[in-house]
Amino acid sequence: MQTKSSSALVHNTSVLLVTDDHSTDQELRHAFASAAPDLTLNIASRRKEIETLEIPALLLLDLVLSGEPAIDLLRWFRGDPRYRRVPVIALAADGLEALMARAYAMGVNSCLLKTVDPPALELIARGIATYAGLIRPAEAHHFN
Amino acid sequence: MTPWDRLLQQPQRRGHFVQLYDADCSGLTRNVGQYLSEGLKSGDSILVIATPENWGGVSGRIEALGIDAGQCLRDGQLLYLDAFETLSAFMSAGLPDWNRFERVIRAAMRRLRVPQEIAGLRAYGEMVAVLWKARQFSAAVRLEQFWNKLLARHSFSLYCSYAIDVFGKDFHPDALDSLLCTHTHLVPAEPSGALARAFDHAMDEVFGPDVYSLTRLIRANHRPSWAIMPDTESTILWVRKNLPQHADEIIERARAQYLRSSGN
Repeated sequence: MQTKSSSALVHNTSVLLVTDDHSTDQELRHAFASAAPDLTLNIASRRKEIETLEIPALLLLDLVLSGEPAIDLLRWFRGDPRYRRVPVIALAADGLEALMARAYAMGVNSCLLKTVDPPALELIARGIATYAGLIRPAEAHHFN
Repeated sequence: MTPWDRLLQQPQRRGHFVQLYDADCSGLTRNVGQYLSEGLKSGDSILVIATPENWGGVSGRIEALGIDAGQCLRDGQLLYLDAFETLSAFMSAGLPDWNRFERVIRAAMRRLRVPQEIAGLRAYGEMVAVLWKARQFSAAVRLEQFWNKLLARHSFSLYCSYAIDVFGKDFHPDALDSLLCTHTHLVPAEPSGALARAFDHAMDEVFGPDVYSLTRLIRANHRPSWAIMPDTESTILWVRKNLPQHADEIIERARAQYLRSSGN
């Protein structure tokens, strides 16, 4: 699924949200629409869906998925030449410290705790949009 | 009083603190001096395993805070051991040996006058720093793990230091992950806020109006396995990892601003 609007703030920048949690999907969609309307936000939950979408500037990965484990997807991202240079921000609920530690060990760049507070989510969405706009493809090799 | 001052004054038992310092050791001397002198005042036993050079600075600071360090040594409330000599007593094939380490440190604890079960024990150690400086990183991390094992058994607090410049390229999450995972707190070397102001200024110069939202994102980053640390150090690590092409510029600007503000 893809939502997009055009504005001058962020050019040619897309973020891919990988989640199969309906509320996470909805809350982030609203937050991005409100705080970063220039950003293209693609949403997918399965590997096959992900492969049909453009390579994003940034991946947001829900660490709890009901289908393929997020850790397996992360391993795939880090091993696939198309995605290995794309920074990954993991999304996790509080209390999943061991899973977060594993995700860091496997190469996620950051980890954000999920929140349902709309103003807080909008600030985070704005920050993610800013970060996605600052990433230069040439620097991505540092993430390997 | 800042939370960091409170931490140095009344450290939690099993707290394992680390401070990074550059060529200017004044921040280290000030903080370690405070940590140890507050312990001496409250009747804690103090174990110091340091290089003679740094111990000279720290003991001078303790004296400046009104405590007769020599008398504390004679009374057995304070024990100083040379870091190099102590390290050589338990290193084996380039790595610390647990049994020998435990024997050496337990023997040192027994030499202290006050039973640690009654009063507290504060330790300051630089053996890990000696190993790190010699680029024996695995040995340093293993020694930190040994200290954690002792902390779990004996309930004291431990302060470590490393000669790592927060403005340098070595202050990078990939290089410091294991170090940050083995400590509870990264104590700021610079308590006045000058480092934070310099870094904020540099971020502002480089990112302009985007800095606010970016900073919010960085502050929201969660890394539960790492030591608790000040926002500035946490932000530098984030920038090093996530915006490597901007990192050098920001950090060099921050360094220049910091040196200007501190009159160097």
